[in-house]
Amino acid sequence: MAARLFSPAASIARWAQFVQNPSVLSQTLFQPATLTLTIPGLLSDIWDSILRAVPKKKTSHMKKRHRQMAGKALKDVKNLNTCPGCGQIKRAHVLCPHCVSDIKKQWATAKTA
Amino acid sequence: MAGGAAKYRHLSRKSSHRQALLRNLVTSLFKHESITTTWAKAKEAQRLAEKLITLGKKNTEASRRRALETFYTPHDIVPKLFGPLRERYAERPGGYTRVLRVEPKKDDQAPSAILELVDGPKDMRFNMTARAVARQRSKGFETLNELTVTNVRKVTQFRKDGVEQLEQAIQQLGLEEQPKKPAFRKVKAEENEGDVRA
Ligand SMILES: [Zn+2]
Repeated sequence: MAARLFSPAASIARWAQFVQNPSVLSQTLFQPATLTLTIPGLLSDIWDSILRAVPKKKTSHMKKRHRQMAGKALKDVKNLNTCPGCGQIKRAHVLCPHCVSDIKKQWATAKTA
Repeated sequence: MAGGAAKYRHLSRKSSHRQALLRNLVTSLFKHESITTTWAKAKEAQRLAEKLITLGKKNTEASRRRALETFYTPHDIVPKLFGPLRERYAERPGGYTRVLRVEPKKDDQAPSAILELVDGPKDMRFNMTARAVARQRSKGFETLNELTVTNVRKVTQFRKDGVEQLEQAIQQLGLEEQPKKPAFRKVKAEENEGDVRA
């Protein structure tokens, strides 16, 4: 059979047989099937234990993101106090952004004037 | 830890790159009197800036050479360092620069800071203290709070005519406040205080 497959003329002849006669097709398809069935026969003892130990479903996007973002939520900012310069709320140990921008603006106008 | 504690921040750069960065930062600092950068860079540049002012105060030929080789534009800055800055810090025993944390400026939200020369024309703490005192006076409080008292002492201690200058800044704030921003700021401030109490 292998020799017949290697020669091109023979394979074309076989192809013509396929098209014309479907019974040949079913015959040739069954032949390798019987061959492959014998190979798992050797592996049948690990087939159930290892080869089938794969996830049954793809992990969904939502499930994956929830798992990976667990414990990484934003924390509340609690270190707040009032700015002595303008009375607005600011973070402790950090200059008030309103006053800083005001003072910088003041410097800019003083420089141009 | 292997290698022990680091003696300085590496700022994720190799030696030459870091050296160039720090030289750039101090050149800008002495040119503009105040720079805004990340907090870690500000702290490292502060070390170098303090050492450079010490060179200025030594005022020797050797120290002048050291200063010349540090700045990128030495001919603008070295005369300033050995002239006005030397006189400004003559009485002050160290602590010529100040690092103040501000809200993050870069879009990666890295902690930012202002690095400034103390008692200069762009002294942020001086201006903030003036604002705080002006506000407390406008609200009719006779005594300042503890932190403001400390800040007043800090900004006037070594400044030439410090108390008079602070008083002048406070008066100027009071004058500016009334014509420029009439009711808006006051209403906003009162709202915020209401929130705090609630
Ligand atoms: Zn403020």
